[in-house]
Amino acid sequence: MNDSILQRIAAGDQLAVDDCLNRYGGLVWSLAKRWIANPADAEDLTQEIFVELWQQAGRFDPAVAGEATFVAMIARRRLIDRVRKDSRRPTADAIVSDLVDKSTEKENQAAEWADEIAKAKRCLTRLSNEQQEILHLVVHYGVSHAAISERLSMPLGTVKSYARRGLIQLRDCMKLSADMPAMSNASASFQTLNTNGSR
Amino acid sequence: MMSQSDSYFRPDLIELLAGDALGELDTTEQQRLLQSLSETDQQNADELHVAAAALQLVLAEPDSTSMPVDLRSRIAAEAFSYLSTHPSDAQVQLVVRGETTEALSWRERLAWLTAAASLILALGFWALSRPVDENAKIALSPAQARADLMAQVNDGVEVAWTAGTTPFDVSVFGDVVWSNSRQQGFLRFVGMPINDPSSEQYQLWIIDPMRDDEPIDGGVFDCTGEGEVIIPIDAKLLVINPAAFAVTIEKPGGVVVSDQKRLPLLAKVLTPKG
Repeated sequence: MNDSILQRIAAGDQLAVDDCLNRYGGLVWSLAKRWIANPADAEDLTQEIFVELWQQAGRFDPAVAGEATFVAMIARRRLIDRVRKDSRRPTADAIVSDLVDKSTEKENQAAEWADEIAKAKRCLTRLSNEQQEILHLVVHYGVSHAAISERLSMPLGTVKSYARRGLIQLRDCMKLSADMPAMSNASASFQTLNTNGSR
Repeated sequence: MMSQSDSYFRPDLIELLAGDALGELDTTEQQRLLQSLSETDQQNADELHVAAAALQLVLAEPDSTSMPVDLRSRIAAEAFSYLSTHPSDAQVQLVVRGETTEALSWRERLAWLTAAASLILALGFWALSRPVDENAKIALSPAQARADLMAQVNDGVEVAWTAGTTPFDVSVFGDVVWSNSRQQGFLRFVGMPINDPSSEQYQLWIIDPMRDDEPIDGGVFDCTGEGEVIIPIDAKLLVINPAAFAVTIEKPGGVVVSDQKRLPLLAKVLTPKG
């Protein structure tokens, strides 16, 4: 039986802990470092994320999401909770230089992760440039909508709308890509949706 | 398959779900989301969280610096400790796997936040609305407390004791008063035989067919003096609409279920009040 790492942890297999840290330790640590400026706080948060992962491992369902996605969901929740509590988020200015290299084609570990990541990668390119840029700031760096609004001189409502509708379109694309191998219909849908993309 | 849940037809709601997945809802939006939800929206919420997490992974660069060794050691130690002390938790989670798709859903988080806020508010209002003389009431004698209760409530029940299935050898008078709204009441006895608490005690039972076939335990008490004795009722469960009150004689400490072999007093409520 080829159980996933999380399924092995849920079954009490202590050997799976090392496997989990080998596979996802770098991912979680890099997310925490990116979102949390203070290294000591980032370490604490990384610990908290893994504690929650041990506790929630039994809830992982490969039919719903890939294992890496599940780990990222747990990590995101902790990160969001932390920055909400602390109200300390990265500023758009601090990371603007990094956006120069925001190519969605960069090599990463997605290839060895779940199918939905490959779909997300494809679908991201279907979004408008503004949506991609804002989602990149929000999701990757944890920048608040208010900070993005200020940095991009864009009304807060528009930032919110780009981010939310962008995510909805991404989700719709991922679903369509699961239902229909051909992406042409999905692409047509995005074009239609994007014409109403701002408010 | 595309889900046909409500939120597909409610653009505002699905935008709120997206905002929640992005962690960007303000307090007002969280309240709106919670009020607008239906069970069928959970799938949408799950999908949006998965999309956000997948996007997170797409945007993540390969990390050139691995986790610090001491941090990894701490996490591993915690994991071993957790797995060795919570093996059953893990097994239980496996059993329910598939029923829930998230570690803690947005609905759960919002519900917990709302519940916590409501509790804090409720406690605050309760503290503010407490009568100033609340503590003073504690010092009231049972007779004064009984009189106060009957003076202050409009749903008070007052019924006289009658002989039960095994009456005392002597005549006992008195009554029961009870208020559903206050969930408070008193027993009053005159001429009640003094009991020896080391060998037997009295126990009150509240018969409430609207609640249960089994009588509600109204508390164990003693009669330690002659003359009028007033005892506060100590109902162990919420009383909905009492039909009768009964006093039994039980072993010290009382019983969970009485065999009713000794039931000297009974007070039937002829016209139960809500």
